[in-house]
Amino acid sequence: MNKKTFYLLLFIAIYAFSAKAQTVSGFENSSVPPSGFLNDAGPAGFFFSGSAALPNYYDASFDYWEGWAISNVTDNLNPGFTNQYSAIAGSGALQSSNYAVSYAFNPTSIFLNGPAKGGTVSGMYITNDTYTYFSIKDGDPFSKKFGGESGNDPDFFKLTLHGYNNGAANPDSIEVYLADYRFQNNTQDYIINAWTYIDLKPLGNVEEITFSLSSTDNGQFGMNTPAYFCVDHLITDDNTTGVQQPAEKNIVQLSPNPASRFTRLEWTGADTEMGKIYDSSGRLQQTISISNGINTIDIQLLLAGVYYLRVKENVIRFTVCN
Amino acid sequence: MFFRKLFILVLVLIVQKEDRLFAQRDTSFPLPQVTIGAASLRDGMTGERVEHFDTVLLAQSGGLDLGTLLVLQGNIYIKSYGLGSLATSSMRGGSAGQTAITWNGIPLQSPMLGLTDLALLPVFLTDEVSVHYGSSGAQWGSGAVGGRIALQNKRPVTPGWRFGLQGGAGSYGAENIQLKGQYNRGKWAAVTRILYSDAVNNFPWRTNDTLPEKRQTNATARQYGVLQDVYWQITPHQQLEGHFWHQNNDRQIPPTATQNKSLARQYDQATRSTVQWKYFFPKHTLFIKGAYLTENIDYQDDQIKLRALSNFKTRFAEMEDRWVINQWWTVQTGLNYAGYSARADGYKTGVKEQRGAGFASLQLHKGHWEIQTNLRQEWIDGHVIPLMPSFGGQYFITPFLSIKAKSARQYRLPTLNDRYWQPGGNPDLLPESGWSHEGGLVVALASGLEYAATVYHRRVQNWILWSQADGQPFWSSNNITEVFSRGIEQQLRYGFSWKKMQVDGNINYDYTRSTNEKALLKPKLAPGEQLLYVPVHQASGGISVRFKKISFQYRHRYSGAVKGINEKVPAYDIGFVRCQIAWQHAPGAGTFFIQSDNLWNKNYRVVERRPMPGRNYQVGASFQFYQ
Repeated sequence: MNKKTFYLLLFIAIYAFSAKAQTVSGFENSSVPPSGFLNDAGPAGFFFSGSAALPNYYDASFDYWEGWAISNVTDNLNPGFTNQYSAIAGSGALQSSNYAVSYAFNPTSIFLNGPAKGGTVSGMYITNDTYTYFSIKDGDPFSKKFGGESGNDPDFFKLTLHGYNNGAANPDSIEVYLADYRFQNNTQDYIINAWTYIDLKPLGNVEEITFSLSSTDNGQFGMNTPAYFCVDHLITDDNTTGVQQPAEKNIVQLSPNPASRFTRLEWTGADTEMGKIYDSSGRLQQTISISNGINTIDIQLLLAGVYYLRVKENVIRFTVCN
Repeated sequence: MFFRKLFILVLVLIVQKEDRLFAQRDTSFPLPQVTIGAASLRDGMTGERVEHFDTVLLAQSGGLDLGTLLVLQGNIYIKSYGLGSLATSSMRGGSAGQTAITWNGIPLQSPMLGLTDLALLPVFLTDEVSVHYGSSGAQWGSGAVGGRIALQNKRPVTPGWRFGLQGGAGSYGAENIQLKGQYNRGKWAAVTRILYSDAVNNFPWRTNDTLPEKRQTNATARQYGVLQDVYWQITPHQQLEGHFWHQNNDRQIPPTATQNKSLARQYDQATRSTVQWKYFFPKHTLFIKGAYLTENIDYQDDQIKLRALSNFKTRFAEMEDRWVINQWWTVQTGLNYAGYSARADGYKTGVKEQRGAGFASLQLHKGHWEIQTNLRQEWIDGHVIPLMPSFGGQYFITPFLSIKAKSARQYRLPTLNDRYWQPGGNPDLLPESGWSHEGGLVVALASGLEYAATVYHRRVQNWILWSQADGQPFWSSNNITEVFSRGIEQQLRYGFSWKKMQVDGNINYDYTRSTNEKALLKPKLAPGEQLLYVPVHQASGGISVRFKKISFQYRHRYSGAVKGINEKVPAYDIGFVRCQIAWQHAPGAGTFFIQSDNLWNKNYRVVERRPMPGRNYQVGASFQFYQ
């Protein structure tokens, strides 16, 4: 070993033990049918990829979903809601197959698991959904083409990201203009149509990132612009070096779900743990003690809506109804 | 004694005059062979305001749909999405689903949406149109909250054969032709009507004067239909009549003003048939009717690779007995049944609904008084709907002045979409219900000057809205709010003859406040906020002059600003003019007309983002040959 090789190996060894390891959530682990999508995450209520857990709500009785879906649809030419699972870029980021599609008429989240929980997030790729892209570009029966009838309306379609850690919102947020028609010179107006890298480090240390969409095209029934966006290659920074720790899966079942006054959680972990209930916007609502066996959870103080129960690395979605 | 007779005589004249002008009472045409009046008490409620469009006016409007007729000649608010496009009504601040539409007494509303597209009802296929203001839920059941629009086919009066041909052409590729043949002799009468209309509707429009002109695209509307009436006077005391109506509509759905293009189109096919039997006893009249209606809707949008099929069927049966106890008292009782079935992509399976009702009316007509009360008990899928009463009265203070009042409980059952559409349908919805009260006066001077005013007040609880609760994943139908409607309607009319000239003029003004009474987040509604697409101020006025065979009409209408879903729609005022020449030379007669709507070429919209045409013209002619 010559001197040069020795220093090179030394540098690599020092870097490996000092720098944070990264995990990429590319969604390639999901078994998506060819040119298809997954809009039902099953009983878990989450799609998992890398250190990310993407909540999904699916109602089989009428094929309704919201939150996240995983897709590899490549049709980026056809408009309309019949092409809602498509990224306008025509593939996943960096020419990958799979990517995540969010329907976020209500704010949605990504939870971080394992060593990434509570760490920083380097960034991710983001682009418009094909349905949204053509709706903004050409209009549809329910939403306007941006710029309006004159072409000069200062319209925008914006994604706002917040980081949450220990149930509290971090001070900084990130705004991404998925379409921006506010320029004096209309030739500068744009709609994102390629995968665009977003630096997420300003969010700080997070265990959850929330995503909310806003638009200048709003009516009495809320935002008219189709509330979709696409994400790929979410790069999380682990708190520890080395191999990613697999998430500890101890929750067996939460039932009834939906529930009105009480629900029961079967917990197989040996130790007593603290469980935290978050609302759909990531706000901590309730803290409970969970021990091995069947735990009855009093949810009478929760308003009707969608909530997340987190116990250690386990997150389960449930609905409270009145 | 002399003065009492004179009073009664003048009273009768006024009532008859009001029939023509304000239509307070029934004016159904008696069959020549029958001497007993056969009108149902439900056709005209004492104390209610009615607007009639008689056969003459309808004959002049052969190429129009009902929505356009009501825009040009009526006083109710029509929410029109453009030439040939969807048109719905709002009466007294109610929603489109709160106006009942009946055809020969059969409800036409889609049970899926609860409304009827007035653009799909050709005026040519009916003999009489009347608009009944205010609630008539106790007589007509669900939906008659804001009012009722009644279409009626009548047995022809003139004996023998008669053939008619009329047609017209107009701006933006509009053309229409109607054929009518009728036979009336002895016991039998029959009327056959066939129509075809076609319009490209590619009118130019502008957003404002600073922006370039655009041209409407994908707006072609095509329609053809046939209606067959058969009347059989079985015996001097029995009548049987049948009506069959089939119609096809093929409409492209144009883009909005903020949409570059549309490839959507909708096919509507409707088949409606009804049979009615009447038996005249000395003091009783028995009505029995049955109907079967089907409608198919095929919505296609090649741009987004979408095809949505839906259809519904209505089975209807009704039995009524009208008992004239004496010259003052009349009682009417009845039962009816309506069965609905529907299929749509939004329903998991086909859905069905059964409704049954028993109803009764009592009318007193004595001296200066006319009083009527109605009661209705309805069941839907076995559930009892609260009892629906109504009370109305009219008092003639002098031969020239009468006052009237009406109170009614009203309700609207949730539609099949409200109950079963997935996701969001709610099978446990309650009916919208509440009370309405109205009062008014009618002045009819011998000089020909007439004035009527009506003040009304209505509250509807359990108003159904599609809404989203906090945390709820999707929108759903809920009995979520209350709506308070109140207003005043005024009509002033004057007519006189001078030598061979007949001049008639009228002015109408409606003030309507219809407000949501509860704060909502989704949809965003504040207490006291005026409902969408309900103008506070609406006015119209017109003058018609007839000199020998030449007639001229000008009408001007004003609609105040309304709030749309996304933006405010400014107020507008529009002029309409029509000139007509008639000729008659046995065995034929005919007319030629030219008319123009939006005469002053105003840039206006009725619905946000939906352009309306500028000045446009129609010419047409009609020919009749008779035996």
